[in-house]
Amino acid sequence: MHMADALLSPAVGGTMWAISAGLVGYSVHKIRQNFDESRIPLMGVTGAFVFAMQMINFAIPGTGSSGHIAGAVLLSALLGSCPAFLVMASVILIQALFFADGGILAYGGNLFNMGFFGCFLAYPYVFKPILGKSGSPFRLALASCAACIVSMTLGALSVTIMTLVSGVTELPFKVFAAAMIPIHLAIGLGEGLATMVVLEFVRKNLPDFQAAKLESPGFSFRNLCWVFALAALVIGGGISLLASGKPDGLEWSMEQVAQTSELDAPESQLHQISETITEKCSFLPDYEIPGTDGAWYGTVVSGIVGVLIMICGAMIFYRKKKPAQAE
Amino acid sequence: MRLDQCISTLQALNEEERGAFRHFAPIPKVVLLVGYLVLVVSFERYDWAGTLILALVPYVLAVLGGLSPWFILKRACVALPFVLCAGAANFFFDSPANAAISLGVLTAKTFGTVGGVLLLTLTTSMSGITGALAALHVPCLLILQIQLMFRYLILAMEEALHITNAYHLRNPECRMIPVRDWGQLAGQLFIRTVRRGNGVYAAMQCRLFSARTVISEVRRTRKREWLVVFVLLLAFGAVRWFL
Repeated sequence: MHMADALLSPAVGGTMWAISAGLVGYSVHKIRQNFDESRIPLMGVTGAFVFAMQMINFAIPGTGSSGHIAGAVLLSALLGSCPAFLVMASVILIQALFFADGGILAYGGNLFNMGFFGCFLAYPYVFKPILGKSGSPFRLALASCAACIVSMTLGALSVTIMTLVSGVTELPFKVFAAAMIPIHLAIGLGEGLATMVVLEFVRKNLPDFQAAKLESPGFSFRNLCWVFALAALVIGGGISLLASGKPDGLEWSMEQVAQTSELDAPESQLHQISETITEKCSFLPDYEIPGTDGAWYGTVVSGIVGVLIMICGAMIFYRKKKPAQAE
Repeated sequence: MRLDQCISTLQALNEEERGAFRHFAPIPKVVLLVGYLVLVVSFERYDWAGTLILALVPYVLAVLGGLSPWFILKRACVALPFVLCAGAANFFFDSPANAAISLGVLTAKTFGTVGGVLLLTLTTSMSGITGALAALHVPCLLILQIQLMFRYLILAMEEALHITNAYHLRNPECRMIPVRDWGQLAGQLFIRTVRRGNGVYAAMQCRLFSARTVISEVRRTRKREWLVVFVLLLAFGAVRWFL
């Protein structure tokens, strides 16, 4: 699943770098809160283990292809989310530097695809709830398979989106996704089974190992909101520049049928009032700053302003709701 | 890449930094590499001339620095399969001429970017790279992790090689390890790696290892090194925008 530098544009690569750097900073912060030097070599050993495991491909039954583990779910189950993400960061960096697997510019994207989905989404929100407190072998198998399938599929989908947004291929989204996702579903299932066996093996042979796990509380709701808000700002203010200038589905259909994408409003009074209100309220019509003749920064400003309005609205709603919950 | 190839690569890269560019401080090299990567990948899908010229840069620098460009070229081929698939798919959705050009551009970009990264690793030691990361304010926890993992990697891969060799000797007709056996082998590997890793860590502690003193000082950068980086980036920029 490693993406090469050549598959990404600088804008996509830079954005993913920023997001991954934020996640690394968050992980380091969490680990430092409960720092124990003896865990550092353990992280190194598990990193080396995952690295070596990625070299041993397993045959995927019925597909004629092979796959290897990404390791994020396994590492999270062994070490906890934040240390696992940090270990993934070092594994992917060494792969990029010494083995031409991935790339420096694509490092942020690869870390996000192989680390974030496994460590911060699949492990806390799929693996742990399914495993439950009993941790029976059946539940372990179910949890491992579900978490690995989720992390692999989301990673594959993310690779597809990043490659398409970078504009390096003419492949339509549906075709690309149809080629990527089924095979990664199979790899995810294989990885899930392997993860389950390794975890069961470790539980039986190294019963003290779980004591070394550094469990972090994961994302708090507020932190999750900040992450999404930041991502929305980056997308609205930066990536929106890469958006296609072609008409959307509705506009395209209208152009085909009526030869225009904007119809005149009916002459009823209600429609006139509605149109006047819309004109007065829309201070950034068509995502442009009025009087700038469609300058590029109009899209950026519109994106940022839109996101800020949404954030302010959400904050007002959240604050108003809080006292009601306290009662 | 096969396990034995991986181990030999690691052992080769673990040796002293080599070539004329080893005298350069790591930070300017990292800055030059990042600038180069951004410029190479910023070429549009059909800009073949500029991409081709910039893709040759790492190989020309390797020859100038007394390194083997073939070694870099061979290693760069590892990154090709997925890129070739993405590029070849253009033949179904673009005109044949345009698809061929875009495939060529993608391939050239891959050889250029991978070659650039490999040139950095060949001419800079691991301690040089981690020193540069420390100077760039990368968290020391991550740097420590990278250093330790690099030490443990050869151990883990040797164990993995022993385990897979043993498996194939017992099952000579089996070309690929089936998924039902893979987990058991992985579990064995994990336990062996943890044991060997613990032994290495105990030995490091006997030699007064401390997590806080492991990050090496980065070599000081001279002004002329920055000047060289500036001139090279200007030249790359000129190729990018005027070709």
